[in-house]
Amino acid sequence: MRLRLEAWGAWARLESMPALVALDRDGVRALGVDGEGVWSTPPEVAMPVEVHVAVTSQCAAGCEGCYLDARADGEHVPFAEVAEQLRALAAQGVFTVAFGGGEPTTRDDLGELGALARELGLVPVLTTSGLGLSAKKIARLSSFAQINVSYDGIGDGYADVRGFDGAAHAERAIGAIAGAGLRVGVNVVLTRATFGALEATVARAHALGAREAQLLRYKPAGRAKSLDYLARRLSPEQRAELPAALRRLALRPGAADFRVRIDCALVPFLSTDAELYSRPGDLVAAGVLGCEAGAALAAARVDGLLAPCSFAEPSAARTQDVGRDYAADATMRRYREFAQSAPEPCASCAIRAVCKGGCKIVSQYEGGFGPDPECLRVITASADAAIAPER
Amino acid sequence: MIAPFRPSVDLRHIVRVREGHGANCSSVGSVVDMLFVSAVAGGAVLAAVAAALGSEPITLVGDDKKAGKKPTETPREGDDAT
Repeated sequence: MRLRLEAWGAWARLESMPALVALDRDGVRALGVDGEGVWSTPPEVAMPVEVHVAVTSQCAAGCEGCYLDARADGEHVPFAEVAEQLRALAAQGVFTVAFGGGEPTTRDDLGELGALARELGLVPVLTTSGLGLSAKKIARLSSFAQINVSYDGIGDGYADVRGFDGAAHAERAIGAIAGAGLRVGVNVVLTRATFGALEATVARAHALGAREAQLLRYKPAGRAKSLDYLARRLSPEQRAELPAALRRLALRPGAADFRVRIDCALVPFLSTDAELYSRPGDLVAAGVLGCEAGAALAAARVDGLLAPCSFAEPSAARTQDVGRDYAADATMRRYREFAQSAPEPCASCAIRAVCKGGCKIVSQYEGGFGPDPECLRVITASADAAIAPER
Repeated sequence: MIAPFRPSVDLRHIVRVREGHGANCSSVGSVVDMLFVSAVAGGAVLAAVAAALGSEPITLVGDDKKAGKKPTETPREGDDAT
């Protein structure tokens, strides 16, 4: 395992099973590790555990909702520059690097980048549209621990999110990656149009060989930062329904070898479920992470700058200087400090410790850096205060 | 720094377990199935984690030994593993 000491104990990335484990100080001592050198000094800002690395801005898919505004004439980040970034991240004890872009499989040297990440002790994972993913390309991806294919749904769901119907391409890619013996998952963007088919979409992905579904909240960033966002985002009824849908997915027959994952921006919607809301400690124990922008999560952009997350504005810190600049950078601190001390109604929310105030990308789109305006708990509080926004 | 042999890790010292690799490049994801399945299934995962903790060789990573290079912040409520 790879162990990184923290002020509260340590993170351990296991090798024999895919898991990241937080141990308290006594747990670290039980491993025979003396952490006093860290624990006896003033606590430092922790480095991210996961960094999203955009290795290209090139992508021919032209998805309407692309959060990075990737284009067919985009450019690859030079290999040497990505390598330098990976070395800097590894030196700080980052555990996982998620390659994206742009369409990362447009790079001929993607396999070499994955192999380099492995050599450095990082766990590389990959997101792809699956478009143009030939058997030859797949054969070069063996260094990646998991490959997720963007698959927003059966029927009209895919086209609704991306503006073209690429579902068949995605399905072929899922099957081909699984057939090559690589671990494959799917990314499912939840919109007003895709939510109703969620269970059928997950079942279809599972049948094709996927072992995990990552559910993603539609966010107003890049090309999705338009008025269309308001029509495409989940309705209040769908947000309230999400926990029940997750429960059905977890308990469906044959789900034992399949995992359902929600993204950080969906965590606020768990607060609507009375049963989950009553046991926040279980959310902590299950490792649920809400907004970790600038904290456990950071994003390396194609221009070499770090951002608090892939959707956020860049900071002044360069990725290769992460060790020097991550703690002090003002943009990173802004996200981190909000999460640490979110105001009401977040302050009194039982799941605040995991949610951390919800998605700042959404809150900034809807008016300011504050509690997630689409969280039903926030909406209720606003209504109680007679503000009653239409959200 | 690392003891020559290792006693087992009591489950109560495991604060959180994030399952899986995840492979999304845009936002951090969390497995939620275990929130809804039986305690038996959850216990099996914890037992597997404890076994791995007790048997895997340890490599210390990170830059935390270089105290003073990074600025400090006073931790506030919620700024920990929980």
